Amino acid sequence: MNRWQRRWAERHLAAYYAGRLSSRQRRRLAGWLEADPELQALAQWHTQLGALLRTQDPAAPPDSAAQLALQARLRQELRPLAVARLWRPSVAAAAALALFAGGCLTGAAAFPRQVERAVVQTVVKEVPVERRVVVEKPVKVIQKVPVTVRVPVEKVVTRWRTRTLVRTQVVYRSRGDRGRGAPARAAVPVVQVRSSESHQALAALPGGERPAAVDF
Amino acid sequence: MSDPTRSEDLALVRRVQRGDAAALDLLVERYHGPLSQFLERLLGDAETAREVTQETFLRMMGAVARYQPRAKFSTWLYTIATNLARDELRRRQTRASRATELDDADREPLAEPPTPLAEAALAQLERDDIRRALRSLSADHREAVVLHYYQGLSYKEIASVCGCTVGTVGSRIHYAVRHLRRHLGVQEQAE
Repeated sequence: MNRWQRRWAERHLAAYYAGRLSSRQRRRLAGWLEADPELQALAQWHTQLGALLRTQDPAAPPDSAAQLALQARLRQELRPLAVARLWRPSVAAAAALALFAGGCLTGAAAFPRQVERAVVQTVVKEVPVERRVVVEKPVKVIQKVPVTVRVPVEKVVTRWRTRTLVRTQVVYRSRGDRGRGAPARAAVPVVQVRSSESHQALAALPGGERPAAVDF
Repeated sequence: MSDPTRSEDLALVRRVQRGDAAALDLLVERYHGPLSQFLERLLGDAETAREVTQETFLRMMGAVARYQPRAKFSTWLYTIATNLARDELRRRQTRASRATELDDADREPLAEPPTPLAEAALAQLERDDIRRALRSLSADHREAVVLHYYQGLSYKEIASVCGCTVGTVGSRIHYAVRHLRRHLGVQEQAE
């Protein structure tokens, strides 16, 4: 066994006894162990060490007084945790109720209006439609960097040609994306805009959010 | 292969998340002893270990609502404890470097090299010798040794606790074992 092999063997003895070597590495190390008494001594020390540490420095008996005091202290911490768990759904329910009530009072449905606001710019035109193919793909990862991308929403096949309805919206990409791959899940909800509904949807949008151009 | 302790822990944690005090007591009962011993070996001081153990459980309570079972609960708990122990060791180091006027004679005695021992004499080693040898290791190496040999954690679990790779754990254990061997006076006899 040369110097490098010895060094490798010494470095991997602990892994050998922890069963972390591949079968090939294990066979190689076992062969060297049989042939080298010095390595055997070190290996023996590895096997002895665990037992030595546990027998000569055994675990002290548990400090039951400290444990009881800690349990009492933690139980106090548990109460706010339980209260928080009760609060969360009730707050969410109250918020939903308030939104719904607000929508009813103003004479409009609260949720659709929110959805419409999410559409930043929609390029769409009423055309005779023969068939539609939804091309939206599920995407993942929301993080830090907001970027504006054009997301294909639907492919519309007309009598003359096929068009893809495109919506420009802010989505969030992970920093690692660097512009490649699918965009991250939209930060604003993606809404299926059908051309038959588009004029109503656009009419409901506030002035600043109306589409700048019509593509068809 | 499912680990029964892991699933039991997870069930207890779920109950704690629902506000079950009995489950919390069981978790504390299960981990208070091992954790305080681990910290005592790491910090070399029972009193500080007790405080850090308490702090570990309090941190655990603060984060248990967000706990996701990606790692074993015990690994997660040891990670919190290890981070707190590192903070404590760092504070100690800062305090020690500030105490420049401290007389050398007043300093905590550093581990002096022991007299060489025969393999058979290993059994005669006292607890203090072992503790002294452990204290002479660097913090990273001590963490790896205590987690592996005392707490019985696998390399993978230690890597997760220490925030390093499995290879680094192997390397740390190797150097720590070699150091302990030398420190406890075995190598001189073997050669």
